[in-house]
Amino acid sequence: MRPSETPLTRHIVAVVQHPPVWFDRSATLSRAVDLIREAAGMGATLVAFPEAFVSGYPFWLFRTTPDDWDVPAELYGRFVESAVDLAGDDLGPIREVARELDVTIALPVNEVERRATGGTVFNTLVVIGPNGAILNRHRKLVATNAERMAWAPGDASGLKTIETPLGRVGGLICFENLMPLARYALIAAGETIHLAPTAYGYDAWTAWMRHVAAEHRAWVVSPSVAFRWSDVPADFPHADLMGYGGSDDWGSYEGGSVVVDPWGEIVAGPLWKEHGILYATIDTATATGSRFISDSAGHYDRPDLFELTVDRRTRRSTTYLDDPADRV
Amino acid sequence: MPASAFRVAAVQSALRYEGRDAAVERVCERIAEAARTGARLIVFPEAIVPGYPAWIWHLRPNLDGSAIAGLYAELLDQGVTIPSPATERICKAAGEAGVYVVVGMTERNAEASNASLYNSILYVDPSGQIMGKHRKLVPTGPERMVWAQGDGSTLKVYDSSVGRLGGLICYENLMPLARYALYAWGIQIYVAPTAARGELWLATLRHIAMEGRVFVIGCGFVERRSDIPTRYAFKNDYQPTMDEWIDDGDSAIIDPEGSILAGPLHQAEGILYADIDPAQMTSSKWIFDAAGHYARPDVFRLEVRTAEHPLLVVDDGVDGPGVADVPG
Repeated sequence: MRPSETPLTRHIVAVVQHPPVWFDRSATLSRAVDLIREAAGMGATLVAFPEAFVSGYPFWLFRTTPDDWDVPAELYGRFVESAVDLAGDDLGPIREVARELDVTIALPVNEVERRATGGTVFNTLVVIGPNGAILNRHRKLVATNAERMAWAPGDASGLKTIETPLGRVGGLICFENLMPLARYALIAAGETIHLAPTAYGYDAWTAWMRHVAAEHRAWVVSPSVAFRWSDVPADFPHADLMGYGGSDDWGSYEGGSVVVDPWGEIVAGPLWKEHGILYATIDTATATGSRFISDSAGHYDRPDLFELTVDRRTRRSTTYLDDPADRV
Repeated sequence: MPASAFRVAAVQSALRYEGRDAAVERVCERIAEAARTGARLIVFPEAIVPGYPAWIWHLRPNLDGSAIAGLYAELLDQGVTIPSPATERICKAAGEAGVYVVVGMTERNAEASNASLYNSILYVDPSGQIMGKHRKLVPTGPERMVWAQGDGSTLKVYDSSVGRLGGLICYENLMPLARYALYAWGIQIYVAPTAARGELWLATLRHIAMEGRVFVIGCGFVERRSDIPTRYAFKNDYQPTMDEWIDDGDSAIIDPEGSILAGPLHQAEGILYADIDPAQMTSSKWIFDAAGHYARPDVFRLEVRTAEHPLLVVDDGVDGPGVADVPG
């Protein structure tokens, strides 16, 4: 954008409600690239995917018994192998298509650091800018219920808003959207678009997203996991133990992707029991005026009574102190 | 926490502009009625004594200034001092019925200038004693022209025989840090007296119920055009786009899983009842506990200042600041 140009505030956002290919990173990334091309063809400049899209939400945690040691171990192994290592540029194909099509992409992934233990996975929301750069990496702070067996808690280094061509973007994953302090931290950082990828396919999610939008006075873009059991690959390990054999049901993953404006009004969705891409035209200038009545970390706050400190420092398990190279 | 199920009530009153004493009498009648129906906790709407100053949303300070000054003087005159004969009347009704009562009122600042007002809720126990009060921390929009801001000393959760009891008033419920403080103090029954209504407000109530894993008692009032006395000049052009129902009420009682137990009661005066299963106060925390296993105290440090901030501290040079005020 040339400096003399007035910034445009109207944008088309695309919310993807499609399943990935579980445990297959390369096939899932190809599917993501196809969906991004489709959405960009409709004029979208932000394309958002549901929780753990690469390479699949670990629904198996809720349908197996930890007591069967070998079963979860095998599933976990596949989960780790198909996870994304940012240092290894596993998201190269997504960065490329973002640059080619000039779009911002919000992609939740299972994230592994292969140069560390290579055995721990974070539930991570990656935002890629239209220049192909990774703008932010937010690791879910607290995994929910059985998820805690497969996802480690992240540090808060990604709990921030980032400047994008659409405005200031922040995001929280699934039940993190019920964490008042995490949300406050993003409100205080001036969020105008709030990403809320989820796997929670119940109608209450729509209520939460409306409340979140009204409390943040931000646009909420919430892609939700949706699949039928028949969408899970037939060769999924230990499928016979998981109680869905032969079923074509949506299980508890019925979708509900939704886009909500800063007043709390729904502008697209919720999309239930369907695959598809939800489109909404958003005007990010709306957020400002809506803050006349409420601005939760501003005039509707009481900094004399409440003071929040957020530790966003990166946490590293180990610091190696080595000899200088010339002494080796 | 009580061992067995118990009944709570939300009284959806009408805004009648009848003055303090008439409003108190109606409150006492509804206390007796709801108690006869078995309620052990009875909640009334925001500022129902003497009545919510709805005109502040309508009149223009410059063009309607003299009318507003007169209305403000009337509100002051009809405001409630705590304690006073008006609160004693409510305490007596609660004591006779043997119930907990929460009543919204416009409170006069008798401890200082006696010419300013707070938006308060009064808590009374089944023995007829005042448990405490909460002064709204931040009034909303034009409310700021009639109500002052409460300090942190009235942000509390009370022990009661039906569970830990507390709440916030209307848009205070969009203050993440205030809610978090209540969760951290172990709130189990969350009252939300309000002037808000509609689907979005219901979404907020459901969100809070699931965020706090609390029972939420949302209690609003109805306002009918025909109830506005003709002596008020503003009646003539008040809310011209609305017919008889200017405020719809929409009180509702929600359980910790976000399910609606009663209401929303739309465009009607009446009492909503719900039977609360106390087991849900704990079982629902398995999935989520905002100020417990789903918090990140290593990341977030919230400081809450609950000190009282008197408008005047007297130092007479003899016994040190303030001691002259200590009774006895």
